[in-house]
Amino acid sequence: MNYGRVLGAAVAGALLFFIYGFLVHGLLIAQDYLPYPVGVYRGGEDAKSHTPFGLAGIFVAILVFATIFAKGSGRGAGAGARLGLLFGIFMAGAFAAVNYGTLHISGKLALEIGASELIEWTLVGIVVGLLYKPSATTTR
Amino acid sequence: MNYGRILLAGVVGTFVYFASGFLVFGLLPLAKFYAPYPGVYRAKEAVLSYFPLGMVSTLVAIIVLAAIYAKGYEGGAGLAEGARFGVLVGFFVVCAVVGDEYVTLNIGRDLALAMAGGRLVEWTIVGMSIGLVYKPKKAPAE
Repeated sequence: MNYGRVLGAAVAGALLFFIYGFLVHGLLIAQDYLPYPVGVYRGGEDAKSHTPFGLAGIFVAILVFATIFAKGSGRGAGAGARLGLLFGIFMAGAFAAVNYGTLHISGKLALEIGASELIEWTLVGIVVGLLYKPSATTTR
Repeated sequence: MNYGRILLAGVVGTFVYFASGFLVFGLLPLAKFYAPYPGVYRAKEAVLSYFPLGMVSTLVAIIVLAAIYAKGYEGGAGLAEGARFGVLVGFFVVCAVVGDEYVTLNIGRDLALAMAGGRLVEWTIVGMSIGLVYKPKKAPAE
């Protein structure tokens, strides 16, 4: 495994994840979070003060994603997109749908979050697939 | 890839997920950490009415997980390979899901830590069960 490339791909993937998250969750569907200002979701300063945990967590998660990709899921943007789509389905099924059952949120918001997971992780997969290259010593 | 085994590993992994989830979150003291947040989580009775949706979506998610495992399967003992994969998935879930929920949901650090520990154990066990069940297709005899 090319650890330097895994790290580089994870950094780029995380940057894309944050930009996407800001555009989609912060702007596009932001109004759908508004019915839950204090009960379910944190608001204002409380959310901001917890953000560093989220940023660090997402970076480590994408590092894990890049490691799984590097361990053998093919090479290039297409293979990255396929692995990313699989992770997106995993996230939508195991967490977005389950959270709809356990959290006080609407079906509309749960659907938007689920769809967003599919797109977000597919994009992360494309970036990781584009940037990861195996070590020259391990290529045949 | 051996699609039949992926499906079987997904089904077995789902049973293991719910069994380990019941043990970790239902019976162990972890369940008490959810109690202070009735404004965040639905009541037990309401959750039960959504349970079929959660079962189906989790089954799909774990079949997908088995497919990811099969794509990266490197040979070797299934249990050890599955455990390594499960630990990676566990870290992924802790960082991408629990971390995100701690930032966005109105929950305390105690619950977030309990969820992180519980989910790491849970997904590692699911990975082990996938590793035990999945077998690659045998090469045709020449």
